Amino acid sequence: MRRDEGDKKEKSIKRKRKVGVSSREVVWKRNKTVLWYYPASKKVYRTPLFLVYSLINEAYILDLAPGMSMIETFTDQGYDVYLLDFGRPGYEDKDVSLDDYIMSYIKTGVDRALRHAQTTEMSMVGYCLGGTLAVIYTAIINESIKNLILFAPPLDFSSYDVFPNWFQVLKNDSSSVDQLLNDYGMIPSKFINTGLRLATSPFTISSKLASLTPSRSEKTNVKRQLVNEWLSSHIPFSALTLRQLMDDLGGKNKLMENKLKIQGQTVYLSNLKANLLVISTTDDLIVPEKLTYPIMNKVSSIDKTYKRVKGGHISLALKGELPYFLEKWLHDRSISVNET
Amino acid sequence: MSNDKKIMLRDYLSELASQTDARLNERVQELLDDPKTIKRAHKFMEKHSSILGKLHEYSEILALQLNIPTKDDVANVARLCMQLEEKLDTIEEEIHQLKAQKEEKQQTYEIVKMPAKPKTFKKEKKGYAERRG
Repeated sequence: MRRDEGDKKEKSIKRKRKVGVSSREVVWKRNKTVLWYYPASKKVYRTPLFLVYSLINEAYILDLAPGMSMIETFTDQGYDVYLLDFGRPGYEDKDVSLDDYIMSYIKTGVDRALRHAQTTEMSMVGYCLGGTLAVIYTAIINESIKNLILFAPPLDFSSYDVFPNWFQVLKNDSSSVDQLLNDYGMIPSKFINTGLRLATSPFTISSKLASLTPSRSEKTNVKRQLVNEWLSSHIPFSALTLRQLMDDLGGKNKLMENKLKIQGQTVYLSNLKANLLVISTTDDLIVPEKLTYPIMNKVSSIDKTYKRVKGGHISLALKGELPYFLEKWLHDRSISVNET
Repeated sequence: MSNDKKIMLRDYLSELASQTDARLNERVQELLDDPKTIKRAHKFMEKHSSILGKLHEYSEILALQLNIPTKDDVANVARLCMQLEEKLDTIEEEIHQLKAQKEEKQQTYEIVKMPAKPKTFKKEKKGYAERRG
């Protein structure tokens, strides 16, 4: 009986996940990428938000459940939200490169969102690797991004000290890894999951222990279940993009050294002039602060803020409320509907 | 067991678990980053890659004999669909630009037609003056 109830609960959670909790509509679609529009509950701001999520996990973490959704928080605050969801790539996407993600998906997505919102400027919000993509995009095409908010983006690998020997080997000769990536074409989600766990925490006895001791609050239990489900749902990764990220961004640190090229165009971080807010968390094992902070000295933004808050890699996305500094920062830099 | 004792035990266990986690994780990462492990992993990757290549080759031959499409064939069809999608996007974009141009032209035409208005205004003014006179 209990098992049946558990199954029913899990099915209902999955059903919810597929449908998405906040009301939304499709604005644009290309390949697996979908641009979603979440209208504001009561529109207060004319400057919409454009969210770019990572390529490693599914974007539904931003809209996990009522009261645990960053998108819901933004729409409740009066912002129209656009989410660029890259979806689950398949074998046919093995040749999709970093250049495609920037110039084909993000660029067109931004254009479509601007047209849909009937505005010329927006605030871009990048999460994790989505933050890295947002930085690259904004450094190339600066005009339509008024504000840029980054949540723990991996950017500077000059002092990366996880697996230093591996890092050195890959830097000098990555031929065998390259060959294997080439043979696979699309890196299976299971490999991504294992790789990330090995790099951060292969053993998680404490989290297992936490799941054995149910919390008194039903909300906490549901949240734990949903997060665990999300954590194990990595998505396949295009080998070509992974190689670019490993060689150009990781090994040679090209983005920070202004040597990265996207469709033949050099990405200069000094071109980034948008108002900038960078947020990192104290217990982030995936993207520690040193991978994020150095961008502050590389951009030309006059208005730039760095905040370090308590929590892990995804804590802020699940809080169900915006931290005060973020709410104020965004409010001060967004155009109200009453303004002319 | 009283509630306080339960909480204390839970806290103790949780602290013990996170300490064990940290020690085990550090050890595993040290082992994984050992040069010997890296050398072995490289050899394994080379072998794995060669097996994958052979499997790929044989599956191509088999598919040819059985007259069935391979994964690459299906991927090629999917890529054609993507190209089509991109073309549709471009057409949509051009239609939008044309519409915008048309609207802009219409607005300019209306502005050019504007001087006709003051005449009417003068006439009206005259009529009004006559009526008053």
